[in-house]
Amino acid sequence: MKILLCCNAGMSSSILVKKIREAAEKRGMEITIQAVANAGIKDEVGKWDVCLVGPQLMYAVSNIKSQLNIPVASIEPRTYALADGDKALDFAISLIKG
Amino acid sequence: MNKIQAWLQKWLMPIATALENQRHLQAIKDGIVGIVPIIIIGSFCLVPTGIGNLIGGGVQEWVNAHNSIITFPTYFTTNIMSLYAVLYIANSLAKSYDIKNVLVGASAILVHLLLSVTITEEGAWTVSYLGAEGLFVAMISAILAVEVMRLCSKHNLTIKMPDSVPPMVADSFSILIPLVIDVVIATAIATLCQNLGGTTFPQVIMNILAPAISSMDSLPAVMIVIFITQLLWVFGLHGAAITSSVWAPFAIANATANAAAVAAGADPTHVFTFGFYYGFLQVSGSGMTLGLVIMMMLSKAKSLKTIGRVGIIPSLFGVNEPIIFGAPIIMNPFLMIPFVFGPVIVAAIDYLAMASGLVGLPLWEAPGFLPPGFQAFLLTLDWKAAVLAIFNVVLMTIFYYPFFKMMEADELKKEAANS
Repeated sequence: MKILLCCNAGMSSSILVKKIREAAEKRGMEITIQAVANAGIKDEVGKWDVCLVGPQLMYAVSNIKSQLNIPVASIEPRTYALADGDKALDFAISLIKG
Repeated sequence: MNKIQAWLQKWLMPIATALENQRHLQAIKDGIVGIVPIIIIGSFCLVPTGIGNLIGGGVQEWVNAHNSIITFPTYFTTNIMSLYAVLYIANSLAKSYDIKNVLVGASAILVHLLLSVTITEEGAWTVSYLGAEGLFVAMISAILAVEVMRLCSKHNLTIKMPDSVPPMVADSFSILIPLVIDVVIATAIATLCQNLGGTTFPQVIMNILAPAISSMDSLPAVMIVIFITQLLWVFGLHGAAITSSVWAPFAIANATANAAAVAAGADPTHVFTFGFYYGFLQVSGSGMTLGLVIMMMLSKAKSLKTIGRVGIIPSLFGVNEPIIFGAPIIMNPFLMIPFVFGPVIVAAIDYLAMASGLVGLPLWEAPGFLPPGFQAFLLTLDWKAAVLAIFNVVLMTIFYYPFFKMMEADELKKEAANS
């Protein structure tokens, strides 16, 4: 499973990257995960299964979705704030399953 | 409260989304913000001069004696800044249109040079308009080149090669017609400006934009920008990311103009630069929340303590999303008041402190995402500026305190009821 995280500068979402990776390791899941800045989203077309967007960029979700053509959604604010890797991972899985 | 939220969501979200989808604005913002590292490198080369002036004596003499070597790179960074900007803006706009031609950036550079550089009778280049004054021309050049390319391919005005031709070769043929159009338009504009107006295109643009540039670097403008930024955050939207598509070009042009003044041995004149915004008005993140984070860490309320602990380290480096979404500040009836109005007061104090000469003006650009005071010092080489940045955080802590106490009492009551 390949998860892309996106926020304005790719900084605040990078906090969550580590936590999601840890959560996946605990479950014995193989994942690829990376945080990028919104400005670089065009370079990510075709590389990912799902994209989670920082809640501060929820206004950009539709634009990101039209470019990536994969499930894209903004992360629930509290999950994002606490960098809750488990919840974020569940969310990513639920998005892929639709 | 929910009604207000629903109403604002209904009106704010579409505006934010529309701005986000306006590809020219986004390309300009991404392009201009993308070249900040180049400005920072140019600024580094001016730092020895600044330190020499600060210390004086032998250090100053040594720096002055070697100045031509130390400041050599500034001629190719800050002084021709717009040349980097035009490439970056064109690439990012081309990307948004899915234009894959690798030469589109080069065509934008060509347009920009035609519009901005004049040639003396001896055949030498005059490049003075490639610096700060050229940034706005760079936006025009980049948009012109990319749009010409796009319209040409839309209307099949390109030389198409068979599919078996390698893409690099095909690209160089398909850009030929757009390039001819670019060159004709840009040369016509440059010649018209020179022959009819006796001036240059960048000067014409600067004359048109002069009122906007000077009104952007003013106390009311800074207060309005910070107010809107903070207000957007209250609704969970990234304030700076949205508002900066309007102010970042001005703020970066101002920083470049300041650096050019310093390089020429003059005093900087602009207060509202990119660094002023981040190094003073966004210390420890939007809303300057460091004091709030510490109060949360020390709180008896468990939920607040947890968020405070998660948020403290990122906060020290200017990242406070954990606090904004965790406290949360979003739609929080207690915290939104100091969060929105506090920074407006801070902005007024800082602007006046600089405009009055009490604290040094930003000399150039400096790296951000540093603990409070560091960027402010690097920007100004004035210890009073570092004190001012820390003072901002302390003042904000005082603003947050009563509201935090109310929120904490509320939170403790909830926790007691749940246990």
